[in-house]
Amino acid sequence: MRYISKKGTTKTRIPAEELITQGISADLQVNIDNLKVLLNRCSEAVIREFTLGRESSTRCVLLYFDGISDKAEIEEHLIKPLLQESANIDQLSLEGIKCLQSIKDKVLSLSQLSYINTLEEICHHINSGDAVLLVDGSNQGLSAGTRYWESRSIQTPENELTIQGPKDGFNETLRYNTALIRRRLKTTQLKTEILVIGRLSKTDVLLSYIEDIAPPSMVAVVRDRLLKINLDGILDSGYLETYISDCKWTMFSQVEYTERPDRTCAHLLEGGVAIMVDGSPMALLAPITFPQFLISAEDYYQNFVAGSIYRILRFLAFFAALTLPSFYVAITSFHHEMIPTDLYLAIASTREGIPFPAVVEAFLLELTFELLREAGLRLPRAIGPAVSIVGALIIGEAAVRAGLVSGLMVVVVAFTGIASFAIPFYNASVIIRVARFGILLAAGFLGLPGIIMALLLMLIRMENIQSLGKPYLSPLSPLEPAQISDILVRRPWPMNIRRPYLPGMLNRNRQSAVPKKGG
Amino acid sequence: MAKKFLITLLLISFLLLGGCLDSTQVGDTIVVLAHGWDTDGKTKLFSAQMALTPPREGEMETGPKFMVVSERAPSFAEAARNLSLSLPRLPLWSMADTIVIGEELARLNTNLFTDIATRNPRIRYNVLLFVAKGTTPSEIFQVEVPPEDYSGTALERIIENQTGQAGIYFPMNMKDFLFETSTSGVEPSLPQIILEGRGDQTKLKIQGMAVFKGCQMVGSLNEQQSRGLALLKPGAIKRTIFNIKQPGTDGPGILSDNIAIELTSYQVKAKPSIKGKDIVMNISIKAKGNIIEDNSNHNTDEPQIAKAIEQAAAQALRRDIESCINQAQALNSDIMGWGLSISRSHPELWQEIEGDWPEIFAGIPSNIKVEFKLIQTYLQKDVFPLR
Repeated sequence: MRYISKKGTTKTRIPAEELITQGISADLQVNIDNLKVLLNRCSEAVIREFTLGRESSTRCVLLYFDGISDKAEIEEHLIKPLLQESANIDQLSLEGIKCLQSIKDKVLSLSQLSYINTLEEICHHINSGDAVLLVDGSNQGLSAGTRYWESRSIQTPENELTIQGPKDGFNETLRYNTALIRRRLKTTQLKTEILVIGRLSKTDVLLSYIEDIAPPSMVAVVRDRLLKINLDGILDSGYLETYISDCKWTMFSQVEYTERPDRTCAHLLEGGVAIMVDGSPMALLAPITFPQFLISAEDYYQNFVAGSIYRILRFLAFFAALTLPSFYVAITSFHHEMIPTDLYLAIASTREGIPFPAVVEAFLLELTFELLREAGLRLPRAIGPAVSIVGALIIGEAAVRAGLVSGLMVVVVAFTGIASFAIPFYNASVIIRVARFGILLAAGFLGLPGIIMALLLMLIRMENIQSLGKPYLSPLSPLEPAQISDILVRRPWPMNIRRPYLPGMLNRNRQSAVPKKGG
Repeated sequence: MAKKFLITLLLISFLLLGGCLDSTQVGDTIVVLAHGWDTDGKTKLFSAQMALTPPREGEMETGPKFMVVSERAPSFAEAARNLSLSLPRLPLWSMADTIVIGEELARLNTNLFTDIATRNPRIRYNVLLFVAKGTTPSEIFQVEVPPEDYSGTALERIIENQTGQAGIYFPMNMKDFLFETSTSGVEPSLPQIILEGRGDQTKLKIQGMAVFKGCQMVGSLNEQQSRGLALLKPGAIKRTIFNIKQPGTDGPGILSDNIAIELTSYQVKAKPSIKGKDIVMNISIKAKGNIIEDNSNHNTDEPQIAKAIEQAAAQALRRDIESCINQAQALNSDIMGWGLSISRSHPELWQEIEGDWPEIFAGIPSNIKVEFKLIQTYLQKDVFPLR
């Protein structure tokens, strides 16, 4: 059966995408109707209509989303003053735009109040946790900062633990994170620009830098790259990495992720930018060079001798994590004469009866290790340790006893695993883990020349990468002798006079030179 | 794109060129600890000591730790290759640290093995050489040398350790041996291994140095002469211990008339002094040492006693050196390398005398000057009073 609609009775319905671009109408009912369309089936949306003035002649509506707005504050500082105070103020002009201004100036006691003009702005503000007040006769709205939601408190960073130094870490609330930075850098030169990115998510992305240190051209490039992002949603800072990287098609990460505010501040003081995303506890630091991945924040909190020794240890751990299984495979498969006789016999006794070539054995064990690590990350905490023990001890022991792998190879892989945990940054250890498999394969085919070729290829690739204009291997290549002493070892603070080089940096001096004794 | 394709192709070709098949797994190999080269006059005898894989951790050790294999063939290369007819694993020749040369081969012609040694990349230049005196290399390899598991590796440790203890002999590696064999004005000398005792009590021992002239072994140095030779070679030994007569006494003392001196450092200079065609070798040695044992009850703190000891020590060292020179000249073998030092300091003269050098060498007088300085007595206070 067909329904024949009567002429003139059919309402043309404007699609939501078009509707949202419209401005706020002076007719409150139109606004309410439009917003009801836009907020249709949004169960947590609250639309509270009421009247103002002694005569209750002015209609208005208050909108907010339950759960992300502070209900108590809305009731205490918005609805209550509006209903009570507006009736008591004789001079309150209740006509249109003046009404809104009078409310802002004389009635509401909230600090964050701003005018908004479009339905899109209304939606953005209420989606962000603000409350929006619309008054009949006014083609503007009033947004009140009432954002509040349950969030994690400031906790110790889980992935970047240090013994000395601050223990606080970022959480998922952007404002808390900016507060952690602002507490450490109490200067108005610290700029914290908010960019709204994500077509649907409208995520607040914070671009932070110190104005009189960071190169303006670099900041402009980052800002430009961020604003060009046309993705529908930004759910984590990791989404932005590829967009802001100079070289996109590579496994070498050109940004550093950190959940430590002290690390972020140190980076800002060296002229870099920090990017934070609302909803993500990880700040994104750029530009970054590869050697910086081996530097822990803690190096700078302890005595420079201890810091230097641990840094050298970390460099050794880096090489061990990258090449140890490959060296083992290359030497035991191709270059036997390099092994002292006693050690060779010890290796021979452990490999007696093993059916696989060393490269296959190493590959299998490395894969198992990675599998255990990956499984350990996903497992519920209650059973995680149990499975780790089963994996590490029982499977390892059983594999050795069954003659599938040699005990020495287990030691090599375990040592490599421990060495990779000494790398302070997760994304750096990911690079090492991936590269390790490539080098292992090269070692299995070509021995030591294979390892050298693979390392050279890796170096050539890194040599071709820049992170926001800064060479990826800086200060090792191009060589900066003055900065080397703060990469390979930790320089004492009084000697740390200049900041690491960044093209276009506005101020390279950290401190004025310390006068020499007697000079 | 074409560039990337070419690079990828190049990388793949590297993999194929190298080839996984070229690798040799540890389990497919057997470690060669030492090889021996000998001859019976007609055929060449090649023998090797090979380590058997030790049992895994936790497993009981049963059976021998090594095996000795020997092959006879017209050439050493063939003999070594023939071993593969009975060996299921690939021998790692390059892992051998020691080569033992049979006395018969050494006396016949060392070129018979130096030729293959220089051609074969699996023989390392730092491998140590020994001469089996009165025995064969394979007999030496059969001997057990506790606490070492293998005589092949034990030989290397014995010779290295004694340079800092007894300090009589010095090691000679393949590189130095080849140099001294192929260079005029210097002749090689190698430590000799002998077997002592019988049956299970058999033990190996370093005794004397084999002296070569050209490519033939012509004789040996005894212990005293060997120390004299070591003292003439800078840095050949680190320490040595020798006895001197008790100063001021002619006959034997109450307990012993000897004072044992430990030589801790020495410097040696050997310069030819040439007047016309008269060559005299000026040898100057400055040595330092300590008293390590003294049964004489003398107070060595007294300057005249200390001086007397120093003179006696210098005399003892001089005797060793003289004895060595006498033996070398008797054998017509310039193991001290005097000819080499003349060729360096007086090349024109060397060109004239090079052809007649063995005869000239035998008659060259030497002027030996030894200075010995006593450093300490190892006593904190006085001499322990003997009753």
